Amino acid sequence: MPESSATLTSRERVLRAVHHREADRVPIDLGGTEVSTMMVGPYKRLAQHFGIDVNPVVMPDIMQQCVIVDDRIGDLMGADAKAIFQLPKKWRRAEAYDGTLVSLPDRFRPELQPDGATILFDGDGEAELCMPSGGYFFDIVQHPLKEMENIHDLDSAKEIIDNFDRPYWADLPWEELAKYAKNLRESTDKTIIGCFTGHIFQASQYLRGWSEFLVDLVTNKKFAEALMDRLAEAQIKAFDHYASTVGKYCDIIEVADDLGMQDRPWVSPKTYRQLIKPYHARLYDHIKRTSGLPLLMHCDGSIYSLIPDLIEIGVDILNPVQYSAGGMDLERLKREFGNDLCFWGGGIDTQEALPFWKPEEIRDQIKRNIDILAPGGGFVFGTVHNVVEGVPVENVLATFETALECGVY
Amino acid sequence: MSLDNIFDAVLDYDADEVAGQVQAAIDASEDIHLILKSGLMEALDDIGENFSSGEIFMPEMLAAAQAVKAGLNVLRPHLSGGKKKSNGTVVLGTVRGDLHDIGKNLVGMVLEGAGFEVIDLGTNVDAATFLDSATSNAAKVVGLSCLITTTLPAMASIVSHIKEKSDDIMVIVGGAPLNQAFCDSVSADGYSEDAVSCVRLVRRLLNIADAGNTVLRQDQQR
Repeated sequence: MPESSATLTSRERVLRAVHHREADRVPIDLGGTEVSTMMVGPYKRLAQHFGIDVNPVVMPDIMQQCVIVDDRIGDLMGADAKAIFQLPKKWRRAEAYDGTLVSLPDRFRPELQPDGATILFDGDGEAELCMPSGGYFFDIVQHPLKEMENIHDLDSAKEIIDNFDRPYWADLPWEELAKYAKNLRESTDKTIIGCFTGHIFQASQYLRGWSEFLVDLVTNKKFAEALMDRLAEAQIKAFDHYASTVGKYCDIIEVADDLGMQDRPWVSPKTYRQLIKPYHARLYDHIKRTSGLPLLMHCDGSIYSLIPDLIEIGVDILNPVQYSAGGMDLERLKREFGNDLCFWGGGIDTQEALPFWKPEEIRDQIKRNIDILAPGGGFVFGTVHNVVEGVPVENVLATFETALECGVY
Repeated sequence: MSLDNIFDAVLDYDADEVAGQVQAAIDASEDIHLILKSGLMEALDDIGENFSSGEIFMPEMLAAAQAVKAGLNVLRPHLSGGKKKSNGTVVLGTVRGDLHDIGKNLVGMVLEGAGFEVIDLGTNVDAATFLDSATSNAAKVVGLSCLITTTLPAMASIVSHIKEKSDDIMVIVGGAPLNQAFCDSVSADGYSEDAVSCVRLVRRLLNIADAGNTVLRQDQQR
């Protein structure tokens, strides 16, 4: 039986789930992190469905073209959490990938090319980010450490390493972002999630090149470790600043590092433990001790064999619970790790179900997922990753309506 | 024996050693096609089996493929007196709207290691480019890759375009959001879940025996 929860706030609801207690209902996340929100197109259509004017659509996440979900939409969907994105000092109006006029960071100034691609160039005129013609996301296309051969060369890349996850266009000082977070905390009962991000493994892949870094883990381990060591130190130093500013007003700290492919982890458990885990452990331990807050880790893909390690290094909440990936069976995850982890996500698959299934099929799947993950708390409902372009409005409605109806304890 | 040295160097993921040992084998007048088959292709097949069975992961698979590629670069000018003899030509690319290529790149390296000529068109490739390349290179197989769900319609459209314009080009698909059901729904000729199974698929489609020159067993065929 759940504890008396007649007057639970969103914050209380979520924190009960995080601490493995049943609340009045399963908490719901839409807009609580940078990986549980919506792209501009489906968001706009959802707002139109409800007759809610959300102009200007606020799009701080230019890479994924994702929005800050308006509270009116969030409340209708039962959303219990709000993300603190990295924000700009100044916004400007421009078109998103689908032509919608949005507010986005003023200093983000990509250029439309003759072939229809949109490219952000760096100070040397080299392409840094690219949205191809007909595409929906910006991808990183420059790997500044690709040609590096020696560990000592990493010293010349200090600024790039130190500022990974903190791009120049998201330039609102954290002292100011803290005011935004404070205001949010005082004006809403939603759980406030500090999206610190703190990439180490993915940062290494982006900086070095996807293939190059993976091969480094076999043939140039010292270089790989030196890079991750510098990234970990930079993230720790950044977090000290974050914790003393934004972090004071947060309920949960979010980090992200995708360790999984579709069918297996990127690396073997042995490689993870020997080469990558020490750096995650150092950063996550620092975050936990400094903030005193629960740690949410976003980790895409097939990561079953790494989950005990993630628990060991302090992850309290695992997102997104990509059950379409190999080995990520929800029943097994709940049975084996449900006492140690709160599962955040796992509500409905976003690779196939959410975009392509019929609403009634989505409802049936969500009921099954809730039945598996909800007992005993330790579950916050969310779509597995963002609601991307192409997802029909009726599927979004079916998702969150079902979560509200069927998540009652 | 020098072929064993090449084989061992691939299994050690040592690209420089592979290149060096291939050169040494050439200098020692070893049969060029034997160097390719017993030194490189069989080593990569071994590694591929280990990848399929989950013993090794992407870093090792990539490192091995790169090591084989290093050996191929040394060997290529000597194959069939300079005129490259291959098992067939495969055109690869990531579909329009998608810039991800790590899976496609690995497939390309593994196919090359298996004796195929690979034309890699890169990323963000449209239907006409795939078709033109396949036609002009006499390729019988076109491989389409994508990572993100939003580009699945583009993949379907490319399959449809190629199938409409050509009776004998086979189209195979692969990528994280895909499965056999998607392949069937777009009438592609095959789906592979990873680079190693892609080689088996292409061999089956082109009716080619494996590196050991044995006909593929029923359970090895997809």
